[in-house]
Amino acid sequence: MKTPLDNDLNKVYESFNQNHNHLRQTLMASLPDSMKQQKQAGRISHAMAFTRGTIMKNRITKLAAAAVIIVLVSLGVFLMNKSLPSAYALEQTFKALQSIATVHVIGTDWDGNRYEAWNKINPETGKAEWFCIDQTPHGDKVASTPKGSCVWDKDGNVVRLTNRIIATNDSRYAYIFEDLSSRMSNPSGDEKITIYREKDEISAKEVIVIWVVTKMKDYKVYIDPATKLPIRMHFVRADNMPQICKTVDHIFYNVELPQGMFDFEIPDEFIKDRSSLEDPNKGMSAEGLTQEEASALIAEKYWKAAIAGDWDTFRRLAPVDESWKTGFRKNPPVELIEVKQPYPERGCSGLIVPCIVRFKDGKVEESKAVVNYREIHGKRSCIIVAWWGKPRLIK
Amino acid sequence: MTIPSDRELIQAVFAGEKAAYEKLYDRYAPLVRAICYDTTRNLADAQDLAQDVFMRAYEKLGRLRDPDRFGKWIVGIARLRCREWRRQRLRSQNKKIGLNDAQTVAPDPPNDSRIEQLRKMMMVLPEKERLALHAFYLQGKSADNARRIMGLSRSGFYRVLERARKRLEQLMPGEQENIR
Repeated sequence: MKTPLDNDLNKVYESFNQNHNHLRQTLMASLPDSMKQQKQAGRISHAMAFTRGTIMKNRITKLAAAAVIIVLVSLGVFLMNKSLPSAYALEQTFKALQSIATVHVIGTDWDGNRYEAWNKINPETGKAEWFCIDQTPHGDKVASTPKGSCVWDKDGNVVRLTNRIIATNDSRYAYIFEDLSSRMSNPSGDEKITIYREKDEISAKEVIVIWVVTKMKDYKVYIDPATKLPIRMHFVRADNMPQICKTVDHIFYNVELPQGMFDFEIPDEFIKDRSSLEDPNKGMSAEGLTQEEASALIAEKYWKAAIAGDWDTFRRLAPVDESWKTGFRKNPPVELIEVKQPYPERGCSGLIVPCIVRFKDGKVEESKAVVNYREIHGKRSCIIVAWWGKPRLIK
Repeated sequence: MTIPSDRELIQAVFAGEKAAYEKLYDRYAPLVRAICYDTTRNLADAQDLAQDVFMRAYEKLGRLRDPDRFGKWIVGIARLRCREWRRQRLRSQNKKIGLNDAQTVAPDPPNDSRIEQLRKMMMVLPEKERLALHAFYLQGKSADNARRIMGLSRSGFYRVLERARKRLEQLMPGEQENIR
């Protein structure tokens, strides 16, 4: 007989089947094609069995074997450190990346969903100035170029157009390397870059690992020692970053990009939202206020509107924010605890305003609003254009 | 149609039939993810770890002595990988001290407070009892499959499972009220 506990346990275990098919496909694509290098345990060689039987059954030989292993490992570590100057991998990798014109990557996002991204690099600047990312089946599809960008929110069935490159998105593959490069040339002291060699668990070959730990990120880039190009990446942590990618599982260099990849063809059935961020009627007047004052004030008004359920004001201040449709209706904010000092952040198009808010379920979270300051027809105003990373749970 | 045993699937993998490994994956991946979740408390990381476990298992499949015990073997790899993950996490946290003290393992956001509470209570259970629950509920509620994974007799397995369920019922006071 099924008890309520049975039903609840079934629900708990349902979550472990999430993304199962996609994960299976990813795994199977990563496995080598044959098992030819393996032997079944039953066919273990007599020599191996004899060695194990002789050495491991005797206490003295066991200790001797352990001592030999320790010496070999110590020697290996010593030699490895000697053979790998710290700047080696980075310099070589930057050099190798200079010959790259296009990159196609396949990876997973922080929700475990698969995404694909294509980058085209401007040979004059060396930066990935065209990029396209497709999160499947939900999420966004983004095509971004220096002349303009198109974001298709698949869940919201909305297409947004802007007249600028979406520069803050970390799924821009080269962004990570631009970031890495600048960190190496101007170390600020709050980050650590470690370079070492290890046997790659997937390819079973030796790879160079660049492990970067900064205040906001912790990620590893796996470099092929032969080509000096990255073959994989893995983010352990990315706090409060507007970042999609968690892993980059496959990287293909100098591929032919699909035609029309950066063209913004919008099917008629989609809602076009071209002007909300440039609309002078949206946002809040910033006349007589400094950029910092205006940014803090709009963030405060935004949360007060959300607490009061004043969705007209909410949508005027943050026209692209759709929390009012779902999230805030289910678990509304009830108290604005603090609006912190706005500050600029590298790669962000506006000022960041951290806000601490209590929700109906008792949780206290810190969210960071990105506020753009603008001047339209001679009038100064500001508008909330995005959120910097995911909210951080405080309590 | 009969369901192929683990032994048959492993033999097929050795014969070069890669698709057989997919079947093993379908059979055990949710269980491995659940074990990894006990360590990571985060579904995305648990999925990553589970992928890693299956990758290792594939690479080391030749070392499996008794193909009928694949389930128990992969659970062992999963537990080992979880221990490594904890060590790596500890190392990286030690390095992070002073950089970002607020950083902790972020659990997945709860969708349903009761389910979330149950999930938390499961973390309080002894590992053996938790594994019994995972094995039973993720192996089609077959006590036979679950007991093989745990290396227990049928009656021994039922004892552990019953103990886990009773403990959960005690830890979840609302459970009694709902039954009434």
